[in-house]
Amino acid sequence: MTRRLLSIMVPLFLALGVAAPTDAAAQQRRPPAGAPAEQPVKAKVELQIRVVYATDAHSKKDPRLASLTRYLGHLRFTGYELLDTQTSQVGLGGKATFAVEGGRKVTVELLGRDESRARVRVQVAGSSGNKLLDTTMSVNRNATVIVAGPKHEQGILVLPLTARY
Amino acid sequence: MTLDARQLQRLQLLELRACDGLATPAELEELLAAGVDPEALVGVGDAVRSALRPVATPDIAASVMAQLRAEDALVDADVGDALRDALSAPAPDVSDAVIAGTDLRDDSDVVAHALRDALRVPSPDLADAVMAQLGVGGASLGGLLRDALAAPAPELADAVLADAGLRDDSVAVGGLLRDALAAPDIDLADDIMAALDLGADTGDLLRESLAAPQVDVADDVMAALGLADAPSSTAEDTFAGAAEADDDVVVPLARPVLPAATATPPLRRRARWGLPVAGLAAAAVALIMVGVPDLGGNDTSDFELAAINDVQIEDLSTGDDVMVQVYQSDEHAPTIIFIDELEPEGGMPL
Repeated sequence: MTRRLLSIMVPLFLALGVAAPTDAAAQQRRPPAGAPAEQPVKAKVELQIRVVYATDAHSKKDPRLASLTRYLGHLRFTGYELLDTQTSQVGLGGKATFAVEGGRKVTVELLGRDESRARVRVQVAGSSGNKLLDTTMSVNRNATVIVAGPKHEQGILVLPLTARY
Repeated sequence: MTLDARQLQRLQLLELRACDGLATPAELEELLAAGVDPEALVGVGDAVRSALRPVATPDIAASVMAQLRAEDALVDADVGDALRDALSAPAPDVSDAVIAGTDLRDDSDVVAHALRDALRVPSPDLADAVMAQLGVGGASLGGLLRDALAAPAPELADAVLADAGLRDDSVAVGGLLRDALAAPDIDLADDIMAALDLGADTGDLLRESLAAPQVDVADDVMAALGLADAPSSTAEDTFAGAAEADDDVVVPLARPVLPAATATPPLRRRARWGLPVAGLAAAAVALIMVGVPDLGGNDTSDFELAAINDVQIEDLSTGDDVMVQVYQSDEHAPTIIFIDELEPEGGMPL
């Protein structure tokens, strides 16, 4: 009996020993979604852009977009495919430029941030460098804003932008 | 005074006939009677005739041709053929016609020169004829050779690349090297599981993770275990260091989306993941044996959406021929900024 108990307990402790630092590392790596304002403010803000191809050519929905599908549905396309994910960390006043499909560029500049909100400027340029969008907005911490519309193949590109810190 | 046969005296006529041996006996007696010895006149005509007869003309042509034949014999017929091919100029060669007419089958250089000199035909420029035959019009063969020899020696690197069929292009070379180094896909899961001496069920789980085309095996393992809170961005790993040094970060164009079969990394790249994979395998096995704690992960999705997505737009402008619509489906839903690039047809409807 003791031997059987040991055979269960030893792996259990091993598992806890592995899981605990993993959980702690995950918590330290990034705050949970909708983190309270009491979370310490990091020096850098992680800017992340997803490149999603929305099309009527098929009806496949990328499982990696499960949390967004209900919102993407408003765009009235039947299929959504995650093409790329790009991430960059910038400090106050810094900017990151993401090259996306079709020769377009999305530039995000961090204008400011505090414990609860970040202020960013988002510029979207076409393949010839022409201005498509230039907007300055304030978003709550870790929020996502979706820029959509640039044409791509048989559909459009959808670009969820997230400022996480 | 001119001598006319009609004015000759009878005696002189008889003397001529006696010289020619034509005198009759009566005429000989008549000469004797006149005091002329007919015997002294015999033979004078032959002597004069032989003295006046022209010397026979020597056969110069025969001697010349004999000499030419002797010289011609010294020349190899094959050399003549080669020269004929090389020297075959578009203009008709008079020497050939002459040689053919004189029944000489060999037009050696000596013969040709002799005949050309005799016929006063200007000697053709052999260099021009050869160059014309080679298709190099007007160029100096020596000049070409000098230019070729004066060319700088090629660099060893270029020669090696050329010999290997490679271009001086890092991308192409890289691709070729990658292809060369791409060994057959080896399933590391079996080796790991054998080293860990673990069972088949756990092996299947790890095998699926390791067989996936993505290099980031950690994501697959963690997702399979329900631990979705794992970093997923390769760009983050690549550019995080640069971002530390400079706040302005430019992310390069994303890699093209490749089919899973072609996205499989080569062996060497996967081999570098050996130790981390082995460590993750050990951790995964331990977690499987005791059960998975609830860490708040959300299935296989690696997109973490905040519960609240409040956006306040302070300023917004667009380019020409661009229309923007902003809407939000519900209170905490992400705001969608829709860019409509207007076209002559009216753009793409929402």
